[in-house]
Amino acid sequence: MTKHDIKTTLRYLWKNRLFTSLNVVGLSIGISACWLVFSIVHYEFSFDKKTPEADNIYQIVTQNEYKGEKSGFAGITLGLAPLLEEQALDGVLVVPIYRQYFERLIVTPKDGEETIILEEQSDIIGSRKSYFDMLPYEWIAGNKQTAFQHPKSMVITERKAKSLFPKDDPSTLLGRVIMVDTVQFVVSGVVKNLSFPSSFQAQIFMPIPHKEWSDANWQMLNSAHLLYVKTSNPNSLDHLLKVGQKRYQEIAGEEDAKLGYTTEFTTTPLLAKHFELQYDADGSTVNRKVMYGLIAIGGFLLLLACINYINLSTAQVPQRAKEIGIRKTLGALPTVLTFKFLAETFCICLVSLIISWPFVSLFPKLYPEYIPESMEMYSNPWIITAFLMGLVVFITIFASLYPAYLINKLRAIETLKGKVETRIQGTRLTLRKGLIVFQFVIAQFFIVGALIMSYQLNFTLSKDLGFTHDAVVMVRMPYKSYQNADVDPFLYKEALAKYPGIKQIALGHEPQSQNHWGNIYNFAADTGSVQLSTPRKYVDQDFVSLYQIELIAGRNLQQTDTMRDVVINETTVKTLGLKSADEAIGKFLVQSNQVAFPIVGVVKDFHQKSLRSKIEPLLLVSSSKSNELQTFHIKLSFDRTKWENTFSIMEQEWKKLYPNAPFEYVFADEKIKNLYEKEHRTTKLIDLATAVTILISCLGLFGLATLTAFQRTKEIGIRKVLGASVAGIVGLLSKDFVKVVLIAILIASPIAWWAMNKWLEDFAYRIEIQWWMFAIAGAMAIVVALVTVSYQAIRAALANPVDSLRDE
Amino acid sequence: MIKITNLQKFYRTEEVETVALNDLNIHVQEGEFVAVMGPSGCGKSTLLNIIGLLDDLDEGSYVFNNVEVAKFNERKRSDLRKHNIGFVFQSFNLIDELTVFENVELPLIYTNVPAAERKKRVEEVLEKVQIMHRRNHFPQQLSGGQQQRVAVARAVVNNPKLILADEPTGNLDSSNGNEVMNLLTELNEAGTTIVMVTHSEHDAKFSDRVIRMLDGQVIMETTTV
Repeated sequence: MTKHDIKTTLRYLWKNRLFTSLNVVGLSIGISACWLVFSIVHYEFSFDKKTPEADNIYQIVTQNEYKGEKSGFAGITLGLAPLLEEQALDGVLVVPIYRQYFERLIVTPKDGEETIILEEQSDIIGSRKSYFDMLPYEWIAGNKQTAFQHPKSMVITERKAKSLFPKDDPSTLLGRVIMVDTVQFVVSGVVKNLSFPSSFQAQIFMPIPHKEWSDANWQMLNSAHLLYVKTSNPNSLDHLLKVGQKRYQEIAGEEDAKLGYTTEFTTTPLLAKHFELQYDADGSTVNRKVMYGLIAIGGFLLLLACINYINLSTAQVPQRAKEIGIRKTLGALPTVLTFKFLAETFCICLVSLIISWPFVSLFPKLYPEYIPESMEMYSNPWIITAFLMGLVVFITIFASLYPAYLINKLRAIETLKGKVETRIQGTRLTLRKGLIVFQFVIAQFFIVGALIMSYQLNFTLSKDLGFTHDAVVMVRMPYKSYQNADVDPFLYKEALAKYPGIKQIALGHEPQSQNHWGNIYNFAADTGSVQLSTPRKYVDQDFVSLYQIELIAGRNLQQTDTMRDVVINETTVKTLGLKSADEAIGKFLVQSNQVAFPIVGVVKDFHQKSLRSKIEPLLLVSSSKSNELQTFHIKLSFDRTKWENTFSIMEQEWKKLYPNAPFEYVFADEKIKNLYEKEHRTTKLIDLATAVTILISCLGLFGLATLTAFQRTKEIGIRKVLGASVAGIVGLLSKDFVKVVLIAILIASPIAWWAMNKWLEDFAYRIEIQWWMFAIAGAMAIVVALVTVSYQAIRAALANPVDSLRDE
Repeated sequence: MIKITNLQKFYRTEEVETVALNDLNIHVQEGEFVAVMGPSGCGKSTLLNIIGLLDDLDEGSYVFNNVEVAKFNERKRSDLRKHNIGFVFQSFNLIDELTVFENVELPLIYTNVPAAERKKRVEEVLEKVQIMHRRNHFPQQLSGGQQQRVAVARAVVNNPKLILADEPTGNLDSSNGNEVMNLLTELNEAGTTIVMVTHSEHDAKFSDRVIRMLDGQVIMETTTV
């Protein structure tokens, strides 16, 4: 590429700033999408690949079969790992990984420093020395031979060392003490974090507690207990599976057979694990289909962007035909012109790439839920760079081919005589229109989707739930031993009762939540015994009145220490086959241990779960235990200005009873909103998709408008000479595009209607899709389209007809 | 230098076939200055395009510099054209995105002349047409006469044997027009063959010979004194 080429290319792009920037916007969308998708997909597909001899590592998992239905499970029985370790041949590693739960880790500081407390760490595992034989940890302090010699020892990763001992050099930590709940552990090693994405995510490693290792339980499968085997010999793997299976059958086989149940140990290779949803124990696996979906989306956006580029640059061909003609006359060969066009595209791609960078960096901040958590840590700049370079080259070639072909097809003499238009139009135009229709179908689909989703979400928040929740805040009762969880929760209730800023206090489960406590009861009905599987909520006697749940028969619960009376909802009445609420009063529900509970009251149905599910039977029962009641519900006075003060009173009283527990409150409204978090996330993504598709459609439409305005220059000139007004001409030019968008609306509406109905089916309580929703969405699309074409239309209409007619 | 015999050229649309050039014979000697005249639509420009190898002919023979070029493909034509022929158009046809210097430099780039040599030759020719002081301006910043001088400079920078001029003064006032005609005459006197299409009897007087055309045929040839 000569200096001349670079200079003229840049000059051309600058002169056509508008088109250049439209192209840049379009392509940066495509590039950003591909960049993000590639980062995610590359990360997910690189999982475990770099583990040494990864193809020799297998996870032992269970396959259950019940009534012909098979299901896989990651957990194993505790008896299996010790048996296999004992039976393993030389060179075979048996690696149990048992997740360990502790309330908190405390590091007592050296003098003058603050105590560091980490609550409920989910990345602690118990394992054997074999764990460090299987994975290539680099030791900063200690070594794998001695790390697990003492049962109360801990190996931590460098990252964890930073949060536990922020001021200390990780290599000096050997022998430091970590209080694990009430037991002292000693740091016996510090390792560097694995340098590659791995299914082994734990940050703290300790020997498996003796109690767990010697527990020869063969009945319980638990997803906290995982087992890996590393061997290069498939026979020894088979051998181990057989030994395990034999022992399992001896001990638990009979019980399983009674229930019509079979359990079989089997293996899944480590290299497949990341995509094995059924063996997911910690939410780290991903769905392969989602990956392919992402690739499709990335490719699709890139395709749209390229098509737009082609569209916009071919729309430019007539305008630059003269230049091309001159160059041809002066002896430029087709290769030279093609190369020149490639150079232009390449420049635009490079600029787009630079513009994409902030988009790509911003996305994880705006949509963190769609980016794998530790992706950033392992991103490899070289691979990404290579990919992006490849992408730019690909786009350059792909997007240039057709415009370059058109340029070369132009005949010099005709371009010099201004005859080009006729050669570019014709069939091309219908193809372009088809493309625009296609783009607007997608945009319209998303507009309708975004609209309906927001209506439904508003509906979920504004619907009468059967209880009132204004000005109610919830406070979770402390549940950890060191937080005085054993303090009688009613003390806090009493303490708050005397303050005027608080109208009422109740204890109990959240009125609307996805948590499910349930049991099966027998009910003696006229037609024989009815089995009732129902959830229950533990509440105190103020719960019903605080939430203004209507009692329609009988009386409220009496405060008792354990479950004694029950209040049921209307649906339970119906499920039990009773004719009226009054009829239920005095009847008994019998638990499997033959304890009978009298029904003392019936309340009106309220939504105890999200609006996705229908109202089910529900029992309200009494309790006085904090681990059953779980939550304080505090109704504030309606005077908002006093709330701040009330909160500080609440905190003061809290600290008196629970000095070690943080005081955190959440408004009931907020809690209810959080039930639809998934939907809110989807809406956020749909909003983005709507914006992007609208933008892309507008770019395409703008290109078409430009071309049309150019082609009709002469027609417009003649019309103006004959007396047409500017408004008339703008209308004339816009009419065609409105037609295109109308066609798109017609195609998109039924598709959107169908898809949104599918989405709404997730909700037992939902809005009805109305015709005017489509009308609003359609009107939006038309307005957007009109704004897009108006620039070219007005420009064409304002042009002096003398100029446009002089050409010939 | 140019020997065209029995040239036929048709334009076809779906329904009509128009004869643009009909059984036309033309000879141009090396070093000659020929003017082609005739009413609009008589085929002058078509003839010029064929001579300039921008358009192909349907029947007949075209010998350029003793080589039969009638059956040349696009690539060969382009090659022959860029080394031997310079063009001057009525509407100048300068590239708006390029400066005066770059416009004139363009033919040299396409004939792979090294950069240093290009600079030298472009400057020489810009001096010659007296537009050197405007070398870094863009075409829109020049007057019509200046633009046409640049176009002439571009046409001659490659030292072509033949210059084809399509109404070179058509868009110029008379004094600018005379300037351009004087330039062409100087070039002709230096040995360049010139074929010029014109409507102007005044311009035609600068030539050695006038060919008059009507309806795609030569009807008269006159030698000027």
